[in-house]
Amino acid sequence: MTGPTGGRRLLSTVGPPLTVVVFVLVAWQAADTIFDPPAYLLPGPIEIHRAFLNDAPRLLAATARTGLAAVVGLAAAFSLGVIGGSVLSASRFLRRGVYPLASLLQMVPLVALAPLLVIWFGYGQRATVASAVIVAVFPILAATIDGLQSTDPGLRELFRVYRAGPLARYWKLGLPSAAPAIVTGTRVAAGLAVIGAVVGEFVSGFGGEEAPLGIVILSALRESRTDLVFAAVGLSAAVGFLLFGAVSSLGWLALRRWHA
Amino acid sequence: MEHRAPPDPSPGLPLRLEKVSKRFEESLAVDDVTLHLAPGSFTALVGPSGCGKTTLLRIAAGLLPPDTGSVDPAPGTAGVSLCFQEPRLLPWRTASANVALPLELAGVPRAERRARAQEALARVQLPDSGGALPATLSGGMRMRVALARALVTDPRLLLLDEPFGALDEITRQELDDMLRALQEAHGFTALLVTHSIAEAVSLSDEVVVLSRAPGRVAARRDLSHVGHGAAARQSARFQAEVAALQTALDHAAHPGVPA
Repeated sequence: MTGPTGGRRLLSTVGPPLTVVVFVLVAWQAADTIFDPPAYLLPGPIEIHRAFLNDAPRLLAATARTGLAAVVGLAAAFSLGVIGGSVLSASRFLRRGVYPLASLLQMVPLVALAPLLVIWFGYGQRATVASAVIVAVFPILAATIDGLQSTDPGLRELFRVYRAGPLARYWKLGLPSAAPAIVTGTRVAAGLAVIGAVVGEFVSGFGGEEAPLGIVILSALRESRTDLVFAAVGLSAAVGFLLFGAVSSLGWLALRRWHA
Repeated sequence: MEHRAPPDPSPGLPLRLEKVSKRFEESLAVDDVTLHLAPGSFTALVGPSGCGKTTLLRIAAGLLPPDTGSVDPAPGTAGVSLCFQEPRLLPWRTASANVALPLELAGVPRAERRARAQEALARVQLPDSGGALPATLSGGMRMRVALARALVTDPRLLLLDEPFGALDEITRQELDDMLRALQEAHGFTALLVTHSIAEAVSLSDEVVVLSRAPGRVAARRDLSHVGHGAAARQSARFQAEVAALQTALDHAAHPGVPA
């Protein structure tokens, strides 16, 4: 994995986006220096970096809180999505009855739902986690159902020849067949979980020393500290990126037999 | 390792299809076919494509119920095994775990499963590939693994649906000879669906020719005098049988045209 080819592959994956990011940052800083817009409108990367350094402990603690909510939300969404998808997949009636409604629920804007979550879960982490679960569960549920439904018919017939029971069919055929789809769905859900957590915090988060990223963004906005807004947005993007990377790595480990 | 009883002298199971018919929607696929296979015999089923060969095999395997007629052994009888046209291996399982699957689903303990899977892989001349994943094996090797999986339960009746049809000629002959040797060594009854006349002649004791759809028995040829293996394939008898079967098959495919 870490041989010369592994290193070269890593470079060819990370190199191009890294080059683009560096180019954008340099161009942004150059434009900022030349046109010198007011700091509340568009701070430059150096100002944002300075804002981050000045407030680093508070920002990193906020990042950790938001990250934790997203991770817990994603884990809950994974369990709910895989179990729910498996149950829906097992029953044509439930699938036809519940799945369209679940997709409709997906159309309701999260921002509109978030106040309800505060009513049900109160202010604080629980509503934030619930918000992350609500957006992250659907792609995992859908991927589980699709994966289970698209099990190779030839292999299904093979299990029928061996008179395998429903549990053996699920554990030894359905779930392993669906695993690549579930990993893909969970990767999509990883980014959504962070979005869900931050939106949840907008509505349900506490301010003060315990403030998560969503609240940091809101209070920085009120103080016209656009540099701080950018720093917090960058940190929430970093959380999403890390979570996506972690899910991808775990997925790769879980699926290494599929890639052989 | 556990010692199992040696195979009894005639372990083959007879297969009897009596007046079997099967209809799919508007079209009759199999029409009144009666087929008797003696225990330990090797029979090939040939016919024009779409003539119902595979349907007949699936009826024999209990995967499809016939509309009329009877099948003995009844569906679900122990000792009946099926080898599909494609290997149908689970891609996430090693060759050995794939071979052990039927035993696993039947509740055989792990240690015995492993030993019997290894033994079955050795029978198909893949003793060292047990740890390999299907994606790393060649097409011929995958088919051997599938054959080992069909043999791991020590079947008394083996039903084969063109198992080597997708392989190149050399690999195919190699596997044909291996299959025949296994059948002679273990004594199971075999029914092979194929569209290759040469394969039918080189493998079987009897060839049954089905007519164009709906499938009826159009001809039978006893091949017990031809012999098997590479040497037999060179013989004049072999060539004569291939020619005769080709004629029978042409006639079955185009009944109106004089042979």
